[in-house]
This record gives sequence, structure tokens and C-alpha cells, in this order.
Amino acid sequence: MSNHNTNTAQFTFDSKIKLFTVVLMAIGIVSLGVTFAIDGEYNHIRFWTNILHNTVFFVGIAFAALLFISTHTMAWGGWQTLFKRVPEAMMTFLYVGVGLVALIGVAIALDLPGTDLLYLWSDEAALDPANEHFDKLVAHKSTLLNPMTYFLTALVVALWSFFAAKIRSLSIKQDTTPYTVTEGNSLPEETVKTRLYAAIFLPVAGFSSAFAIWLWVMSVDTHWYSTLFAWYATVSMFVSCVCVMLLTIMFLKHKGYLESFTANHMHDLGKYIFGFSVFWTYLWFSQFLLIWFANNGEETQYFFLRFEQFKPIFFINLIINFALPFLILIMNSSKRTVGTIGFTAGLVLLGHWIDFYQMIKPGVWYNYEHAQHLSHAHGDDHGHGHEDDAHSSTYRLEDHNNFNGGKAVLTDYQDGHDDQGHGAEHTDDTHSDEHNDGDTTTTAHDDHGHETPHHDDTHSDDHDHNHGTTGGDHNHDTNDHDSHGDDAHGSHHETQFVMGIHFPGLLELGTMAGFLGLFLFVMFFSLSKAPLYPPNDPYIRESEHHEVWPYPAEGHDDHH
Amino acid sequence: MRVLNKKVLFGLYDDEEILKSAITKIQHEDAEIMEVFTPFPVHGLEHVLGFNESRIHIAGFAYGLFGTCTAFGFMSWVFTQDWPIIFGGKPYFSAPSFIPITFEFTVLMAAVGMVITFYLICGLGPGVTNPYLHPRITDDKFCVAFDVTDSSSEEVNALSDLLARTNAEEIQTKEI
Repeated sequence: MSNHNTNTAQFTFDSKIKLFTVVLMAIGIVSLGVTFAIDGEYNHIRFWTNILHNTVFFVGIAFAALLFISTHTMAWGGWQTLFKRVPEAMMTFLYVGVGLVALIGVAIALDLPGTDLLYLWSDEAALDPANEHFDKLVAHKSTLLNPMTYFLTALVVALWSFFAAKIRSLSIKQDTTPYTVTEGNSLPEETVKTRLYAAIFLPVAGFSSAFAIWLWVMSVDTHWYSTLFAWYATVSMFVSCVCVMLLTIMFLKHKGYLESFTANHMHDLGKYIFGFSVFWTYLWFSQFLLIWFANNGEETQYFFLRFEQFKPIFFINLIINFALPFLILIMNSSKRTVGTIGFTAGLVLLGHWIDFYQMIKPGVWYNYEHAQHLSHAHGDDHGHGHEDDAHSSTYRLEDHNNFNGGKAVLTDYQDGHDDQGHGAEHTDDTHSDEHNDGDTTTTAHDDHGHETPHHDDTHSDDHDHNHGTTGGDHNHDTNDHDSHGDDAHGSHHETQFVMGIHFPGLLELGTMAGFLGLFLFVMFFSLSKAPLYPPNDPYIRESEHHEVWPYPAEGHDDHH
Repeated sequence: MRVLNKKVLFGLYDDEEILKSAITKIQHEDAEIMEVFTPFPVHGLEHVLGFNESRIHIAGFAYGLFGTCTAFGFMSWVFTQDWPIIFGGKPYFSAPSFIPITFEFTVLMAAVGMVITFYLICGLGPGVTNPYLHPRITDDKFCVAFDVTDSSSEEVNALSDLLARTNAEEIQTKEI
């Protein structure tokens, strides 16, 4: 083979690339420091969400690289053999990931400033029935959601690291072992063992990744849950992983490595980006459709919050992660052109970073507003000296129902159409009238008007009760949150916009650069530790002539 | 059965690798191949034969777009104009609930449309019988065919030699 020498060449992690990654890391550290210095006003939620967001994103990419190797090994895939050292190097970031996740776990356990806004369950006051900040839902979920189980997720990443280390070391070991096939076995020993580890890893990954994602990401919206969420987040990780893999391979090829990597391999990676982007959309939409149709306030709060307060992010997410890759990559030629596929991979990678951004930031912002609201409601930030303790727990649940507002906005939506004269579902005219009043006023009763069509009698009573006892607080609630529902009617109010929360600012990008630098450093370091070309892998010939199969059986030891 | 009134010289090969190297050799000697028949799709054959990229996926995109517009448009019309019904307290025009059907109809139109187009182009379909050169082409043999209707016997012999030199297992002429 003419390109034998280039193929076996070992990647050198030269000082130029090293400097680049170190500069990125320095930018990240400076960004984190600046973020911590300036976001005291918001209890450091910007700082903590940035750390959590990027940790989850990059650990997710490393996890998906391991998933990529395992699934391809199990499915007898051969075409990826040529560049398998790239995902193998990517998954070594899991070793660092253990530390990053453990760091967040420790920060939560130590109750560092801002961490109890990251996850409502980490606030002990919410779990104590005697406390006026007691939250029944959070207390109920605290069996699973607590600092101890959060720490378990670090062990989950350690478990993934174990599989990553095993699979990678077997792959490297094969490079120096002559190709031998033992009696009664059609594959070399290392491949058989890799398949064994991959077979064990896949079910482990299925359950443990869901567990980790529930704790890392979904429990940010502590009151909310979705059974589809783990799948949706995992696919997001997988797409990002393929993008990183493709961009790394392009970089290596640009440097003169991986000569046998052709447009055919690139085409298949492009199909992955295309296919999994569509699959991501499928899951995103499945989650949205069910929640939208059921219109259950407990569930709609997730989309309500993101749609009303995070509109730019909400739509950018869908455009970058679905519309653009779909339209760009639908053509064959764009998957085979370096410029187009490289641009799309970069775009989609950024898109899924934004996807994780919109999974985490709005939830924490909700926690922050929730806490602000609570401390307002009880007139005290530090949780002592309170008058109506006896009443507090009922108030809290009621309060939550009003706060999430999901039902309110969707009710508005329907009512707007009822004006056309099809109000069959409404049996009570007074309520409709009340609603119309609500449109033009900005008082506390605004909120009352919105919800009325769905209230049964008992509920209304409770509501009045609230107005009676905590009227002033309710007013606050209305102005801050439920009034967002008025957007649809064009009435005036101020939407709060906080840079770094409602839209990623320079510090977010800086933090991302820092984590990216760390990721690249680990990946390039691992790449430089093993030859890029695995000559003894039984599938290397298939991978080199990716277009056609099968090959003459005697070809496997050509490279000695 | 359709009659093409053609005389065809063809060689049968055992393996697609041998077939592809044979085609390269034949092209090297400037012989004009009429058609290549294989029992299954052979990767890379279209490059060896120098075919242009198939345009059927462009048709597929058009069919898909047609499906999208038809399904979404039809449902929008039915639920807002023709027969408005409230489902689950949602507005008449509630786009999210139209998406699953729109998606399915897009896939259906693109798939069925491409199959029908392919059948029409290739003259295939139920009730159509086409002449065949050798029954084993549909089983395990790969075939290269030349049109020798207007060729002299010297030319036919030269082509047979060429086929023999490219390791054809069997060489025949047939009128179809």
C-alpha cells in the first residue's frame, strides 16, 4: 500500500497545538472567574450553570464516543476501523469527566453559594416539613434526587471510564499482537474481548446514562419530569460526538494523517449527522407534542418557560439542529464536500451546545425566580421569623400551580378562538366575561381571569383564599410571571432579560472555549499515545476499501 | 413478451470483483458495452461504467414536498374551513397535531413516488414481461452484454475473444 507510512504515522501533539489548547483553557478559567465575580446579584447561578452545562456537554460527547465504538463493534461494523483511534481518544475525556462531575457533586454537598438554586432538591429547607420553604413535590422526589445519588453519577462516569480504558487498551494491544486466529474462533482474541466488553457496556450505558441525565439535567427543573428526556439528551450527545469526530478527522487529514480516509467515510459520518439530527427532532417533537396536547400544567411549565422567556434560544435550537442540517445535508454532494460537511458539523455542534444550554439555564432561572418569589412571599430571605407557618404548606402547593402558569397561557390560546363562535366547551358565560376583563388589565386579578375557565368550584375557593391571605405577594407573582402570558394579547409589560441567562453571552462562549480546550488537550494527548492506524484489526481492509465488500480473505496481513 | 429484435453477445462471470476488472479491461479496448446485469446491486459499478448520478432522488424530494404540502394543506383546510372541530381544547388550526400525519404522508409519497418512477423508467411492473439473457443472472451470475445485431462475424469473434480473456465463465449469443 502506497500510503502505508503516512497511515501508521503517530500523531505528534506539537507545541503549537498544545499552546492553542492551553490558551483556550486559560480563556475558560478567566471567563469562569469573571462570571463568578459579576453574577453575585443572581446568587452565582450563571457561574454554576456554565460549569454544569459544559461538563454535561463534553462528558456527554466522550460517553457518546464510547457508545459509538461499542455499537459498531457489536453490529460487526468495519468501516470505522480506519479512524477508530479518534473516538477512542475522545472517550478518554471520561477520566477527566469523573473529576468534573465529582466536583459539582462536592459543591452541592458543601452547599456552596448558588448550588441550591442549581437544583431545588439540594436546598434542605425544601425538604423539611416544618420549614416555611417546604416543597412537597421536591420532598417527595428526594429519595432519588439528593446529594448522595448525585455523587453516584460520578461513579457512573467512573464505570464508563473503566469500559473506555478496557476497550482502548485492547485496541492498542492488538497493534503489537500478530494477527492470530485460534482454533474454533474466527476472530483474534482482542476483538472477541472487545466485543464482550461492548456487549456488557451497552445495557449498562442504557440505564446509567438515563440515570445520570435525570440527575444532571432533568432535575434542574425539579418539579418537572419527562420519560422521554434521557433519550432526547443522549441523542443530542451522540450528534455532537459525531460532529467532533468528523472535525477532528478533518484536522488530522489536513495535517497529513489518515490518508485512507476518503469521501466515502465522510459521507457515512455525514449520514449520521443528518440521520441523528432528524432523530433528535423526532424525539424533541414527541416530547413537545405529548406535553402540548395533554396540557397538564405540571408538564407544560417546561415549554411555557422556554417559549415565553427564552424565545430566541427556543427557535435557534430548532433551526440549527433540525432545519439547517436537514436542508444542507439532504444532498449527496454536500456530504462529500469537505467545506460543506465541515461547516455543518461545526454548526450542529454549536447547536447542540445551545440545546443543552436551553435544557439547563431556563430551569435554573426558574429556580432563582422561585426562590426570589418565596423570599418575597415570606418577607424574609434567611428563613426565620414567620407568621403564618400553619398555612404555609398549602400555600406552597397552590403557589406552585399559579407560578408555573402553563395552563393559563394555553387556556388563553383556546379562548382566542372561541371568539369565532365555537365556545362549545365553555358552559359558563360569566367566566368568559371575566377572562375578557383580564386582557385589558394588569392587576393581580389578571391572573385570576386567565385561570378561571378551568377552575372547578373548590379550586376557585382556594384561589380566593390565597388572595385573602397573601394578596400582596400574589401581585408580585402575577407581574413577574403570569403576565408573560399577556404577550399573546399584546398588552404591555416588561420582560426581564439577563445576559448569560436568557441568551449566551461572551462569558458563556469563553467557558465553552475553556472546556473545549480541556477536551482537545485530553483527546490530542491520547491520540499521540497510540498509532493512528490499527494494522491488525480484522476489519481494517474493509475500512480502507469502504465502498465494497467482501474482500479476499488472505488480505489481512498485508501490512507487516 | 416484448421482442427487441436484437442479437446479443454476452459473457457470464462468477464474482463482482472479476466483473469489475473485466469491465475495466473491456473499456480499455474500446468495446462498447450494451448493458451489465447483476443479481444484486454492486457497489462502485456505476463509477466503473461511468454513469452519471441518478436523478431519482430529485424526484423523491419533489414527491416528498408534494406530500408535505398536500397533507398539511388538506388538514388545515378541513379543520379550519370545512369541518372545524375542537380536539382536546386546542384551537382549530393547531399545527403541532398536524405534524405526525404530515410526516407520514411525506414519507409515503416520496417512497411510493420513487418506486413508481423507477418502474416506469425501467419498463417494469405487474403484467410486464421482459426478455432475459440467462436465468442465472437473477441468481448468482454477473453478465456483460454487447449489442451485435449489425456486427460482422469477425467483430463478434473478436468480442468473444475479449470476453474469454477477461475470465468469462460462459460466452453465448442470443436473439431477443
